[in-house]
Amino acid sequence: MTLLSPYPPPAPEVPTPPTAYRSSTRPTTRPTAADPAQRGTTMTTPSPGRQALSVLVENNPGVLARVSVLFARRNFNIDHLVVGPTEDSKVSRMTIVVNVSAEQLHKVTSQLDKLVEVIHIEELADADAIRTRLWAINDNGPRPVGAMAAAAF
Amino acid sequence: MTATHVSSESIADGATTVAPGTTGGVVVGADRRTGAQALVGTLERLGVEHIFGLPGGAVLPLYDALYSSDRIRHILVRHEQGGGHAAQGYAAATGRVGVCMATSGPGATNLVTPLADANMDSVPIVAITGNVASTAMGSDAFQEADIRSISMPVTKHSFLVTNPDEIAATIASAFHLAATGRPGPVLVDVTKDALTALADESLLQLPMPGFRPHSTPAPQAVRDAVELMMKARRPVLYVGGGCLRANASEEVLRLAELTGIPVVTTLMARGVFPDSHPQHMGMPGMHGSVAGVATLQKSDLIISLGARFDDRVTGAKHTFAPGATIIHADIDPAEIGKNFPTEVGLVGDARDTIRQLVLEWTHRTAAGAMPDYDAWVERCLGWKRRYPLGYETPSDGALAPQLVIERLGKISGPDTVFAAGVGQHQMWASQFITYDRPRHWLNSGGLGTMGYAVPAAMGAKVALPDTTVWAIDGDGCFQMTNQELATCSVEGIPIKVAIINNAALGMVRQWQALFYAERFSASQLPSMQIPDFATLAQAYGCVGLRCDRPEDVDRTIEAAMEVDDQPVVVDFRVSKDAMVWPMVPAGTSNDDIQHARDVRPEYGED
Repeated sequence: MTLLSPYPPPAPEVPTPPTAYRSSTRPTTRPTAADPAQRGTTMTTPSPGRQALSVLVENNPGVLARVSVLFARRNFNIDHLVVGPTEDSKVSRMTIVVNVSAEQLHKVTSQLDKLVEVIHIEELADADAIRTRLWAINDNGPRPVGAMAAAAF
Repeated sequence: MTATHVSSESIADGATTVAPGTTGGVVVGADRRTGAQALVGTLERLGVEHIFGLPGGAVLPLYDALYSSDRIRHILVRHEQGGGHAAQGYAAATGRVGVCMATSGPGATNLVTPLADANMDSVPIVAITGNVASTAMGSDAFQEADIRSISMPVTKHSFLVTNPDEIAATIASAFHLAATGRPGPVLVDVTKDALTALADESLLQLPMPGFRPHSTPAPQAVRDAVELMMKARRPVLYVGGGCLRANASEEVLRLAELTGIPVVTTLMARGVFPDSHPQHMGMPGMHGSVAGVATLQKSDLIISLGARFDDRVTGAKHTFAPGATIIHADIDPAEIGKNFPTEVGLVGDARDTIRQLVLEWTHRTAAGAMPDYDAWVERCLGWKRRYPLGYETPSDGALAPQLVIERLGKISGPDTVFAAGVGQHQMWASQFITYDRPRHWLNSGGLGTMGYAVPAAMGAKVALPDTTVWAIDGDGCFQMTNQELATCSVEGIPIKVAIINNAALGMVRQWQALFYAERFSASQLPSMQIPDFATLAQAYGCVGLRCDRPEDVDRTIEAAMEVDDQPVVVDFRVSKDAMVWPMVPAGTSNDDIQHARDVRPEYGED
């Protein structure tokens, strides 16, 4: 049997990421000065406006959509969002980090507070500590490669 | 009841085989009901009398249960959007929760516009939609739409019910949510299998731990507010739709007369404070009166009662009322400080809040405080005298639209409810009709939905069968929802429709004339020829009238008033060049208001 085309087909060419990405002095992923060799995604310059919210919500389907739609409506980009269970199976906790000013955040939290399924909101004082932890989770996840990396820079 | 009593329901039950996916048209158990029956039972328990809806596959079980209800009148609309606006009109005219119903997929998505409209204008409505069976959800089943998610940003809350045991509780909670706190639309989407399954109705209300509406403002905030009012030299009461929803018109009048502070009422609040009252300065905003705009703009203290500083009121934000501090009373805490920094926020029901302000004011004045606003009031009255609302009669002998609306207001009397569409005719209807009582003016203020008038008038007429209800509509608006005239004819809802027919999308045309060098792109309609509104009305079983001369206006309106067993449509063919004045052009300062074209009022010095 003659194959009309080679099998398996050759792997598609991976776009080369920009040189900045490959250089050893690439920007670190973490807000803290970290080992440049560490794996992870790059991050833009940390802005002073990062705020963290801890939100208790009813554990219903669709709550995440409702909360994220509210942020999207105000054109806020969510940096981090973690949802997890609490000791009460009817309640979940969302930890949200957004890059906005405190004043803007207050407007969005007052809207958030109106959602029927949102039970409690706390603006967390130490956004940095949470951010460091969340970046650690990010760092252990898959990193952008190939076309994804090219698109990201 | 005797032991041998056997209800007809249980006999039927024994004899009927229930086909899959249906209730078989009858009760399935002696004491347990299907989800659909539980839903209808809950509606009856909540006192619902009217539903505007249109059935389809997914809500068939619900319509079947509705068939045996003798306490609920279902009004079959011709389009779900009409059903939604009718529920809005019903709610806005009475303060009760309006109910509309639709099937899954397109039925539900057709409700999105009324839901968004009700959300913007804080109208309490409950929309009940059917959805495909829960087992089919997510499979792109026929007429499947994720309406719970679609409606998220445009409702106060939206529920998806897949468990028959939760139907009764969810419906009860939806009504509670819609009517409590800041009113708004709530959607309940119920899957078909939940409607057909047997329901346990022991759960009466959902817990909703996150829903904690505010009712009373903090006492300290009330004291602070009155302190500011005492110190102010140029205060204004900026009265919004919240006072209407809270039934606070008596309290507003009391506060205004007690303090002597000038009042402006927003488009949503027309009628909350009597237009004929000497302290009333008119409506603020883009097409408000000069006095209304100037009173807000030149004030040093804005006491906002249930208003939300909409961009149509404030004009360019950075130039709005530069000398004013703000007291903001609203039931929705998110409104306070949303658009402008607020000195004192009063979170609570408008009626309650104003009562407390009155009480505190009385205490302070009894203790000897006596603020003096006389100079300010005199100045406001000066604006009101110098720049009254008016219009020019077209030089070519054409009918002035303002004249039609003015005469309509005069002839139909103070009890009449007016519903308007959106555009020039809406503004004229807010300007040239005197509203002295609340809930007599229905319109789509926030969303600006063309096509609101006819179905909203229908809803209002259903709620108030003994009241004359006029829909004032444009020729553009009318063609968006005129199919509901069929509903009105068939169901015996004799509304009256005045079409202000200027053969154009008038407001669009006005903007094009003023800001786009008279390039009338896509704003002309051939409504003098097609459709012929009078014959269209007759086709729908209504009386169709036409009027195109000023001298015929009164006679035509009187002829329309005489018909009370049929809907009436009057085609008023008016001048297409008439414009709405005064006007604050979009994006400019309230200081740049034009009393008439290129005529800027003189405010006098500060």
